[in-house]
Amino acid sequence: MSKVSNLRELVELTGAQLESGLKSLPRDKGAPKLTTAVCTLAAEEINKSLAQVDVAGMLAHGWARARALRDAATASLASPGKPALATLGEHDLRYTCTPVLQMLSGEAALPEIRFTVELVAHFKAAEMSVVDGRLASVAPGSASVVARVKCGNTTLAEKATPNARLSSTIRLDPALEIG
Amino acid sequence: METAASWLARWFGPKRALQVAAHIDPASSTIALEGGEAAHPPLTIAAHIVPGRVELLVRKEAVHE
Repeated sequence: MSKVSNLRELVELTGAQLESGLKSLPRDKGAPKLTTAVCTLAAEEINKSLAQVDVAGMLAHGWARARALRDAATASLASPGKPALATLGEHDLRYTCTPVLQMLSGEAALPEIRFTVELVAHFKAAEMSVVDGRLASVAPGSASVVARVKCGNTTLAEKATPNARLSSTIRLDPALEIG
Repeated sequence: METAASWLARWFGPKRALQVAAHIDPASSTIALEGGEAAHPPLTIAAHIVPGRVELLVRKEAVHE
């Protein structure tokens, strides 16, 4: 597939999926009933919000926690301005976030509906560069990704992308704190 | 004049109002109510992301030669 830049490219929601998912939620949880027309508009708004999430930038916060970076961070502090390299072997990054759907009828806010996006990206390896004790860039190669949108415990949409390509080198500006 | 939204909230409470308001056709300017139709204000729909967290699970450390 082409290069992945935002979360919408890994999972998106149709109006039909939203409508059917909301119908399947337990009624005692106050699950809203939305018409087909409203579901179509709501799904598109959720998809637009997913398109705002920078996948590489978000995953970089996980790489910054790698224990393998600690030695490189120490080495980089001994040689200011020079990159120290570290390699991470096979690993997963798991990301969750919460899309929130808001509806206004005129100026009156209706109760918001909260969703969950879960993403698991499996990488064979990643090369990381540390400068002045901070993670400056990552070369991750491609990933196998599964992403889903849930409402409560109900999965509304799920998509597997076996060969998701990120940038060959993700440059982090500003560089990320390690740990 | 009272808006349909405040009418709904007053009679059904905010949670139930959402369910009733869901029957609003966004392309229409009226809402079907028992006993007739009432004008409703435009329905605005928006979504935003509350950032979450990312976890790293290392399965195999890199092999260094």
